[in-house]
Amino acid sequence: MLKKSLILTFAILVVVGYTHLGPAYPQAAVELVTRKQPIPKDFKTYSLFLICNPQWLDPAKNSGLLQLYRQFQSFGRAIGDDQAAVWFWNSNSYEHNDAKLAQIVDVERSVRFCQAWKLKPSEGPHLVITSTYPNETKLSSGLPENSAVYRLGDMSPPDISSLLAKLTDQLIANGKVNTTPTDDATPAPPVSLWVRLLTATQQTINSFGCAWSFKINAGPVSADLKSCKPT
Amino acid sequence: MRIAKWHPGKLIILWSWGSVFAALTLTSFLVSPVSASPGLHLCELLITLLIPAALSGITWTWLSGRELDI
Repeated sequence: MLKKSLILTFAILVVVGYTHLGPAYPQAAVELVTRKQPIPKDFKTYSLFLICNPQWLDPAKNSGLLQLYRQFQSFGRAIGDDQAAVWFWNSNSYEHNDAKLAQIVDVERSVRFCQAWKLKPSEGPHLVITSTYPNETKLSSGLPENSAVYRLGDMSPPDISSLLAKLTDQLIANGKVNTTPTDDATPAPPVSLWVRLLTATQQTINSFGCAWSFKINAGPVSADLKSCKPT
Repeated sequence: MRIAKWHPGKLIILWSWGSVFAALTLTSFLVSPVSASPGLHLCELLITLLIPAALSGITWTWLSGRELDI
């Protein structure tokens, strides 16, 4: 009886331990790295998702953050077990809901990368894909060789999904990504002054055209004519 | 060409057609983003501005104050 109880207890401990520890690194496509947990080695590529922008700590951003995480999670699973997708948490007690997600994102750790690699927080979140191990003890040496940086700050969720799909294709097909980021992720080249003036003129005329409305109220009949549909 | 003899009705026709073309070019200028074709948009805006300017010039130079001469 005692022997059976011991065996049962041991079995429960093994199951619980495995559940909490999660799979070993080489099998894990998405790494949930707690604050003191180093980035695992021996992967072909490392895709680091860096959130350095303090705006993402706003609780109002929770749903967007959760969406980003899910996109990145899918990306991490799609690129395979030999390529790491790293997302920094400051706790491994994350929940699969958006209630307190922003609170447990390890922004401070991401900021160290952004400072060392000179990434503007306002342009983030950033996705850095590198085939060189991102050694956190040698961050001051700058962005590793064979790295590509993607700025996702101005991108909509569908655009991010599209970008991640392209990157997945490249990582699966070539085992690396183009070190020159795609056009989707880089800001457009600066436009000349006259084009900006022309754009401003167009916007001004358009906004002026939307500024009026025509209203008729004749007892039982009323009509409200607006020049533009409000957006 | 003796513009001084134009009938006021012709003046209305002239401005009506001018307004139509100006409206068309202005619409074309407004409906698509400038970044798609900046040069074309610039032409459309210039035409939109030039049409009323040209018609105003014609009206002012040749057609104003000639009612007594007709």
